[in-house]
Amino acid sequence: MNEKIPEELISAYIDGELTSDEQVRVEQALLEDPHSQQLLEDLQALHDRLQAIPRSEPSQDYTQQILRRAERAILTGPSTASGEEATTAVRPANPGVQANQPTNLKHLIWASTALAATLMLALLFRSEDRSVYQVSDAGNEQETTTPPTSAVPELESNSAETDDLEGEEESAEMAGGAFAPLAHADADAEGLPGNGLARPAKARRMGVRASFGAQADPAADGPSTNQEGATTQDTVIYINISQEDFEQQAVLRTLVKQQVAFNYDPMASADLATQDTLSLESVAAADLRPVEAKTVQQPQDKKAEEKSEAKDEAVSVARRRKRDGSYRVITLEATAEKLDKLLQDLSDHHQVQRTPRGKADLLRKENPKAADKSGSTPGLTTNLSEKRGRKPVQQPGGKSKDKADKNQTAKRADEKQNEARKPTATKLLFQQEGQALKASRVRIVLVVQASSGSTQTVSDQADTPASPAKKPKSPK
Amino acid sequence: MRDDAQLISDTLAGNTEAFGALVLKYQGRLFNTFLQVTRSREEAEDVLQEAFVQAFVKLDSFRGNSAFYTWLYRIAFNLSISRKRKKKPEASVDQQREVAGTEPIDLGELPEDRLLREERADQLHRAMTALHDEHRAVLTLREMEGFCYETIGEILDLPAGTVRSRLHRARMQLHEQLKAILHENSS
Repeated sequence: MNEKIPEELISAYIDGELTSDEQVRVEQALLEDPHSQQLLEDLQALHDRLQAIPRSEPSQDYTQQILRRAERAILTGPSTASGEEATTAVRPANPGVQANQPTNLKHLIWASTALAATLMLALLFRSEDRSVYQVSDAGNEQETTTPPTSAVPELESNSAETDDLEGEEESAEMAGGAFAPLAHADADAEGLPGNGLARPAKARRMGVRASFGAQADPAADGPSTNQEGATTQDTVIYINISQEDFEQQAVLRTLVKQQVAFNYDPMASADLATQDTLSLESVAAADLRPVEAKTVQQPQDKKAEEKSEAKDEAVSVARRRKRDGSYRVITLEATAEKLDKLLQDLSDHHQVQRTPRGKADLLRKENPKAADKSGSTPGLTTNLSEKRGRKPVQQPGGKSKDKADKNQTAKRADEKQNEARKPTATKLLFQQEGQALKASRVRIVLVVQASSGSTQTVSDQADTPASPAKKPKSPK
Repeated sequence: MRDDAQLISDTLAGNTEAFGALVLKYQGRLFNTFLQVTRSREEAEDVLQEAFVQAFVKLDSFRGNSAFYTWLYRIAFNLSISRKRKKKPEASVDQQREVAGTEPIDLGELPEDRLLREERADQLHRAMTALHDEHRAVLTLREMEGFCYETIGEILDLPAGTVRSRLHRARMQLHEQLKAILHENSS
């Protein structure tokens, strides 16, 4: 018997979407029913027609447009309208997993940016590159820094070191992706300030600059940070840091974590260590511009000046005895609020002392006894690690036990005085200066503790006269 | 060549280039399909661009339960519906020609044959444009993408039976409009 089948089955037959029973039925009908046969032929012809529709290509730069938009969407969030559309669009297919996705991915991006920056810091610190690298996040493309142009030809003239440098730049770029070499400063020809010795041929300059999001770019306002000595407006933070923590870039990691823009040029800092005697204040105020930009002072004058500083300023530190010991200076700009947060974080792990220099000097003039009684670093107003009830970092070696006890006693007295100045002297000082919302320049002086033997501390009464007979080792 | 899962994993790890590879892999295929769905080259580009951006932003929500392309297609398709609700584009003759694409010129083809071929292509596209959106979507997914009924149902959130019936209705409508051409071709 000739059985009429639904035409829908013929359509599905072309697509191979029939059950075995349906297929048997259709094939039987096709054998017996000319109408079904004709329909099958027509639908097959239609299928061929549709398949023959010419294919088009999107615009040539279409892929790049998409990627640019996607990156922008990640950084800024999709536009309101399109965001609503997207949420509406995806929800029916996969409900319940949409709510936190943009935030999650943003966090992922931030985390990977921070991780990349940290990895780069690790790379740069372990190398002896003299390049100055710029660390920037993806959303801060406009950041520019003018390198000391005179340095570039000097580097180019030294082919051996240039080759070496290129290799390191390449690895840095591979690791971080967002790093660009900024400047090459060869200081070989320069005399070292303070000792009159020629800079060792292999002396190299390395620096790190990090900027995050909408943070003020330290380089944007000219030589505001890391380019000149601290002014009386600068806040100076002293951090006693162990050799181990220093090698692990503990402070820099904290800065990265807190997304604080900073400049760091360890070779410029290392210049400081070539001098016999230094006070913390002179370290903090040191000119950190590239050597080429400095006016090189006569060695005798420099020594005389240092001696004078050591006398006038009550606090000085032990002479550097280990090349990697001594000081490193990080410069940055931060608002009072940001700085307070940073200091709290730092003081959780290190012994931290700070002073807004100008204000501290003022305080000392107004109440010289209070300042003198503290016996601490001139201008010291707050010792955050102590204020937060943390035990100060033990100073291995260095002074005798009696001296250390005296230091502790003096610190306790200082702590009591600081307690009286609560709440948060740092904030009050900034507010008094009307700088609560304004980014101010900050210098972080890392006082690196030698791993054994000699020790340098931010001791309240530390004052180890320099021994002129002992010459420091030259940096490599 | 890395597979989709690897590219997705790399993208989530912060490698934008991996997502670029995904875009390159699927943009052509998606574009042609949405050229038929939206009937406008400009609209198709906009929809796809938006879809890729949304896919990038929401990539961490992709669980791998379906193929990445299916997931991407679903985003694009829902976006196109959403956009269409907001504005009703008017298909011009130029737009139709854009959608039809440019067939390679056969230098040995007689002028009258070429005119005839172009006329048939126009008829096909007019017939496609005349289809109801939901019918055209099902037909495009089947004929252009070659998706099975189950996948089409997954993308459009329809049971497979509905996909089959809509597909049949779409074909029959085209069959009615193009009967002359089809018979001519088959004879």
